[in-house]
Amino acid sequence: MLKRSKLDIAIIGSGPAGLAAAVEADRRGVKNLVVFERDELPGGILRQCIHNGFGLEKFKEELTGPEYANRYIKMAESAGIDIELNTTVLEIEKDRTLTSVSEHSGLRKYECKSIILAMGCRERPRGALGIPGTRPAGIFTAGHAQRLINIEGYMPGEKVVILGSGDIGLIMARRLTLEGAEVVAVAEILPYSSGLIRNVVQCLNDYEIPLLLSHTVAEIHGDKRVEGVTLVKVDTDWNPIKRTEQYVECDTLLLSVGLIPENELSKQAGVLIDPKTGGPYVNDCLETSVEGIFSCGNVLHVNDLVDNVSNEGELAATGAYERIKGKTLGRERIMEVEADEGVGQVVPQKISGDRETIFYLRVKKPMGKMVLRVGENFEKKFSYARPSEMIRLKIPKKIFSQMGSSVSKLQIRCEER
Amino acid sequence: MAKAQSVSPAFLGECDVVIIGAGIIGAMIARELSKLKGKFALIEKEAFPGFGVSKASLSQIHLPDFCPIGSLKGKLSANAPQRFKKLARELDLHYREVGEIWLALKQEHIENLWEAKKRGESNGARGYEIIGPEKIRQLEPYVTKKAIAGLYAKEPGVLYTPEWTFALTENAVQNGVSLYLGAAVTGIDKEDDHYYKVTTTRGQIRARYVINAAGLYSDEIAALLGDADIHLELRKGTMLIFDKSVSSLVRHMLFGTFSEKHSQDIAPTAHGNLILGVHYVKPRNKKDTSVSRENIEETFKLGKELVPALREKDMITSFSGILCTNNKASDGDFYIAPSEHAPRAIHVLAGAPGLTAAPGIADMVIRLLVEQGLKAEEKKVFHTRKESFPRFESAPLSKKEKMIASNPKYGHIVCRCEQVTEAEVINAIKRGVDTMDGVKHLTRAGMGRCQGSFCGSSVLKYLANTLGIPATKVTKKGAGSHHIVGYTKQGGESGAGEC
Amino acid sequence: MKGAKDLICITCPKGCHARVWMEDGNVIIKGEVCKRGKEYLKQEFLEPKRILTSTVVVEQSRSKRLPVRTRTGIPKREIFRAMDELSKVKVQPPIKIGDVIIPNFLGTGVDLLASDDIRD
Repeated sequence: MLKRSKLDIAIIGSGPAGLAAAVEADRRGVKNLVVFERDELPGGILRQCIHNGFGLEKFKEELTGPEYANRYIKMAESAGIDIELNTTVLEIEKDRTLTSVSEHSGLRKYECKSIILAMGCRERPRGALGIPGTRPAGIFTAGHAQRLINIEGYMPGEKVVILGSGDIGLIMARRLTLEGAEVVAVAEILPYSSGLIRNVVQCLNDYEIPLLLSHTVAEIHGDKRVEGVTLVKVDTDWNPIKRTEQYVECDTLLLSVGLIPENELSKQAGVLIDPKTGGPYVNDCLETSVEGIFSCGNVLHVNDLVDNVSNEGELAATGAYERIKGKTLGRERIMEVEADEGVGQVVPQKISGDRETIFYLRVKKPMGKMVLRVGENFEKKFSYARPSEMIRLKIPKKIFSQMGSSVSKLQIRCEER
Repeated sequence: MAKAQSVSPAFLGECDVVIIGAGIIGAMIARELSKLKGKFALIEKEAFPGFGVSKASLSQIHLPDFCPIGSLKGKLSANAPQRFKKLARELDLHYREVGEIWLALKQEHIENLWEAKKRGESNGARGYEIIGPEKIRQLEPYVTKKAIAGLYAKEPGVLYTPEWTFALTENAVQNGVSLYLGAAVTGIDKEDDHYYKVTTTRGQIRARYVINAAGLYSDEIAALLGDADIHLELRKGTMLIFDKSVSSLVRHMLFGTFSEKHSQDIAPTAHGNLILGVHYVKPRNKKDTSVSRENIEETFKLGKELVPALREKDMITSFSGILCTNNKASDGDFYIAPSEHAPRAIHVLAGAPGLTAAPGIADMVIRLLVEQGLKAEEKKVFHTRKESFPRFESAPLSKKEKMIASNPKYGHIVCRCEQVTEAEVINAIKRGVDTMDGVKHLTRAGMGRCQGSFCGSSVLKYLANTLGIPATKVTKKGAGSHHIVGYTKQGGESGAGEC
Repeated sequence: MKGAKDLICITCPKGCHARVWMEDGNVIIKGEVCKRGKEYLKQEFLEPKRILTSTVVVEQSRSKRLPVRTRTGIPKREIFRAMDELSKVKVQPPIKIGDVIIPNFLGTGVDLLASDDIRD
């Protein structure tokens, strides 16, 4: 019979979301909590993000990933928060029973009053992209390569092509170049880079690395190890344009083409997933469709700013705390939030309207001057918007109070003006 | 032929029978042969058993309803499910009986089902049932509403070919067979009236009998033996793997239509994924296992027709395998016969259903060897295989506790997607697995949703540390497929494993 | 004009473009640029600086690499020389975040700091 312990809050993941949640829960007086971390050290993905640019909002400084994580790790340590390292959560059930395993403690079961999901996301691998060609060694997702370089000190390759010009791809272009590799090109299927301008300048322009917009990898070549890739130009529908193929010699292909929230554990517990975000449907306390299970950070939706990830962690912890205290989390009135015209995804998807609420949303396609409308009595103008930049929209409580009590659906939409 | 390979002058040894090719068939022959007294050798040009054609196997055990009546492949496939169930017990391996339903989506195809039933029964199989739409829907709630009839059989099953190939090889070695990996055959010469000299890139072997089980390269081996009239016709088949989260969509092996261009087949895998195939095209050459966008799309259409709820975004990977038929047997049948020019040499040219027929093929090859003069005396002691790789993920909670109690490293999860533990990875490496793909195929680490992007660096380190080699020497699938090229500017490994 | 550079301001996501050149000892900036942007572009024209983040070898530890960073920007033209210098560095635990690994790195006046803790 497995030993069963009782927990007030179980937090899965000790990245910026999980740590912020833990620190906030502790600050509010919840002491019976455990953070489960499968890696050997806390910090989550930030451990390997050795570049700077994190924390401008939260700490008014530009920190590296480990420095940002360290702020929270130090807070957690001074608070005496229990972080179980090298511990993997095997299963969570609808009744919030959690099963974990580790070398040092073996199998353990916990009965939890609340669970906060903070597992982050995984990268889209070559197999899921269906990139044609052979299956040689030398194909890495950007995160895999980043871990090899920054944590293990291994060089994944000498001559690299990168697919994907989002921030992760750009950062890796620079990192590889600094470590002596030749980054032959960065290919991007969109007609623009979805990364920050700063990264395009400091990661590509600084090193004269070509950025091939509206291009993708048509085929991978090489029997044992990558020998080259065929790049091809694409039209606005992402279809290859005939006779634009070019063979590029390289020994490594880095893929930075999409992050997927890691919700396997969530689904096991019966948490309903929003196909638009890839993460759980949540209410304004970030509680999922399963009572007592909350979600924050990249597992909820892929974020751009780590500061926001920590904010979500704090909000989820607040929700978990209120639940422990017996508050009903404003379930008297529920409004379904719908990502309508022009809006690709929005979180939270269910709100009570009894508090100020921040919506996080992404537009479907790049737009110039546009107006974002929430229901019938709120709108905000923007000079531009891109799908790769999450919009944070703060709606004061009075806006909800102004809506009739019969309003059960809140549409959020945007249009160019 | 391939570019010139450097031959080694080393003398590896002498044996009664050398089997060229450690795919599923060669490994099965080796294992069965190892029950007899004598010296046997198994050679394989890839870095690991089963890394050739067998790596891209559909991993399905069929009944002989696909085989023409009276064909050799039909005869050798008889009783396959029972043979594999028995082998699964003896080798402590995974065999999953899922059953099969051959579906007719059009009125005119119903006749095909009856013909298939007739073929199967003539070839010795039993247990067929023709079923109607209600029973189909009961057995398979997600199958297309267009399915109007089905040929149903409970016995067919699925396994994982690379796992079986390794296990058979390991069991053969356990019972005295000498295994030479990374040994490509470059010449077979008659030394005298009793022995052949088989030259390989790893050295020379003297053997009295030669078994050509070299799969895709069996025509080249045949030519070395003087049978230059053996030719192979190749087809490249693309298959797709779908995430475990959609495994409930299909419970049995489901078949649809078959043509030159495809074999419509969607089925559960031994590990709980779905496998979908097979779209055929002509490969550029024997090494062409590339997959094109079109291959993926055409293959996906095959599955969508049978299971409309299938979505491309649930695909986690795709791959191709090369299937071959020979010019010696008619109607795409197996050709398993003594060489026409070389004494004491037997050709085993078996394409699909090579896996299904493997036990039968092994029996036949041994019979042919005996006819050719091999003395067949059973050993007094035949070792059954040591315990298979116990899988933490599929063990019930109580077993998991026992595993951790026996070895705490079962508590350290290395591959999160497939819940593979450090103990399993280390055990595999200690038992001879020395490549990233080998670890992947035998432990499942790296076969899940993230396809190794999280656990890859850990598996690399475990291989380097356990084998005592620098990380730069660890390969994906043998020489030339190194995972990393060096170290960051600082150079050298700090800590264990100095180069 | 001589020495003119086309630069992109990176102080905010707008990424305004400007042409910058030197005239009579003054830096001239042509483009729709805000005050903060002008400051950045002037520096970028005269002496572009970059914060360098990388790793150094750790010995006698479970960790293999220590992430490091320059406290503030160092001249962009020194980056590869900096990487060469870093390749000679070896550190040992215990290391605290913020520890000065190399003071006045490359004579730039900027310290090279540890960007993470390494306890053992």
